[in-house]
Amino acid sequence: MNALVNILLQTAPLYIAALGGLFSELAGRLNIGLEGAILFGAFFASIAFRLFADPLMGMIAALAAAALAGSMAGGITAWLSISRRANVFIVGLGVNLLAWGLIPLLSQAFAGSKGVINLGVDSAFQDGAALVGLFAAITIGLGCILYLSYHHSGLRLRKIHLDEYSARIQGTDVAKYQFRSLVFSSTLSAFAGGIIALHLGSYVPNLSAGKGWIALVIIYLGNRRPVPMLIASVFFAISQLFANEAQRFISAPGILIGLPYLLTLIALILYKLIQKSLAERKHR
Amino acid sequence: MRKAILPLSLSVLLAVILISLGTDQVFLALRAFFIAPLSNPFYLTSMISLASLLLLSGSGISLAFSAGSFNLGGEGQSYAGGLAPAFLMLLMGSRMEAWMAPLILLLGILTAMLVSGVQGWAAAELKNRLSIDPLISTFLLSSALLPFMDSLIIGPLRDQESNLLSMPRIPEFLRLPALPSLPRIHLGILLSLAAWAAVMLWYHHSRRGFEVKMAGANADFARFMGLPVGRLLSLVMIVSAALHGLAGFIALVGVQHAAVVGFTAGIGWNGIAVSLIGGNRLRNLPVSALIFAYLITASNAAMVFTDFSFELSTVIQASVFLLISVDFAWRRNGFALLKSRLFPTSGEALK
Repeated sequence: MNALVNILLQTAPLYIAALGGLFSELAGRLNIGLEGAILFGAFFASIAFRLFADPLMGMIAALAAAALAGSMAGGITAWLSISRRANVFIVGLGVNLLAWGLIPLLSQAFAGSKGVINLGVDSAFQDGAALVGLFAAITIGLGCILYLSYHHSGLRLRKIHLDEYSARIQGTDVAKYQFRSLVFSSTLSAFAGGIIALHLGSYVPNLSAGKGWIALVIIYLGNRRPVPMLIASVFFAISQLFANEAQRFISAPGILIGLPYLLTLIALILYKLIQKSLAERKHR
Repeated sequence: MRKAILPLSLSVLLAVILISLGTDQVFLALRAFFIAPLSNPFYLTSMISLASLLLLSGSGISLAFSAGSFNLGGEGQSYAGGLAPAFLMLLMGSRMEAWMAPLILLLGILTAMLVSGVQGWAAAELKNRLSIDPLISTFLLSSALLPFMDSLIIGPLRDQESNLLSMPRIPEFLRLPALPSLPRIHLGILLSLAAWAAVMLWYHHSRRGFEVKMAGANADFARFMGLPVGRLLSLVMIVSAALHGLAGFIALVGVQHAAVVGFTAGIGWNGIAVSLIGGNRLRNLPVSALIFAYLITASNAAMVFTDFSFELSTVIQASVFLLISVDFAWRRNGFALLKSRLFPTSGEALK
């Protein structure tokens, strides 16, 4: 039972980040700066949390700060790549690098240390934060399903993914959708980062540990649909828990730091193999 | 290359602002940033040595770009390119003698290019067979391999007598010859230039190079003309990764002389910045590698004077990434907009 709860709690931030990435993918401008957005979200959530004595107020402020930081990162990505026509992949890499370079500087300025920022919370609070994350993941997931299935602008977004040119001809303001999708993707990823920091009870450098990249792979594994993406997120949450547990039993735990990336690649290969064989069978 | 002037100027401005905020000795820090890399022999030689490594990784990235692909696995490829020959030398141990040095170095180069080239080949095959974008696969493969390789250095391959997290130092006769008074000016610099020139010749003056160019510009057209687009991608990704491997090998035998944890110091990511500054054109890369090496060396020199430490070079790198592909044509766009408002039909009618 405990393991199942753990899996669900680990799944939530991954799923939220992946849902964010889904919007940018559907808009035809995949945001690869999710990793940086998660780090920015986690960092600013930690800084905002420390401003309040009341844990509940701190949590609300932390999640709001995370979302705001993400929307800023997404706004920069969108403005540069849509309004100023920069390459969205290069800008995404730039956001990731900016997070790695800027956070230690900001951390020293605001928290007096470029290492761990301890939030000083107990385990009950950490569990509560994880439950908030789980609730948020369910709500955002349902919201995304409804939006993409029934709302006219969600349907237009899917149409842009199917054929951007046709959507443009039919009068859809594609650039507007792309701009908003990029902002939304970073906002959700940063929100996920905030949840991770609150669940851990501290901000740790490189806390994202590749979750932004894994979220991108989840989009492909889930075939760009929210429900299969949830299954893919659960798979990666299990693999991360497995890697964490396995670290206790081997003499060189560093080896397992790369395990989530390796499993992500293997999962992607298996998915593509299955997809290919199904397509071949259909042709026959 | 001219397009890079404004982004680079803005990046330097950002660096100046950050340095000024971080120190009371603003004048000394800025002097160190602008002057030290060119006046201090240590910084100057470090800069040239770094530029030679960046020239290789930048060439690898530019080649991948030219084939319409991304190689984000440069870190893992260069790390493997240094670690595998170091492991080979460790295995050979006392059986190595000074007269064997050229042979061992040649074997080292081949090993480096092989272990890194395999990573590029794997990414290309995943693209050709399963449509997995190299953008994702190179990054994932590199990120999976890096901690594993670090664990090898820290664990079973570690030099127990050293305080560093490092493998045993390579014998003196296997280190690349350097100028006696300037140890950082080593033979690897010439080797890098030779490799870059060879890639230039191949890309611009060979039939295969032309085919790669054509496949990168328009894959569908190249396929229609009967070119093996998949095989060309494999070739480019292998060469791209092998160039990173060679950079890792030179970092080992020319600069560090031991596989220390993190010994490649960001060659992969910096190679992307170098390629972007050079407009992804091979002929511009020596200049862009020197410019970026200057920025990194200048950042390191200035950081000595700041009150808190942070990765200024990473911030500069990030700002280059963010700004390099931006269309800065504000005035032209503004003018075009105004013109279209004032004379709504003049341009449209011609179209």
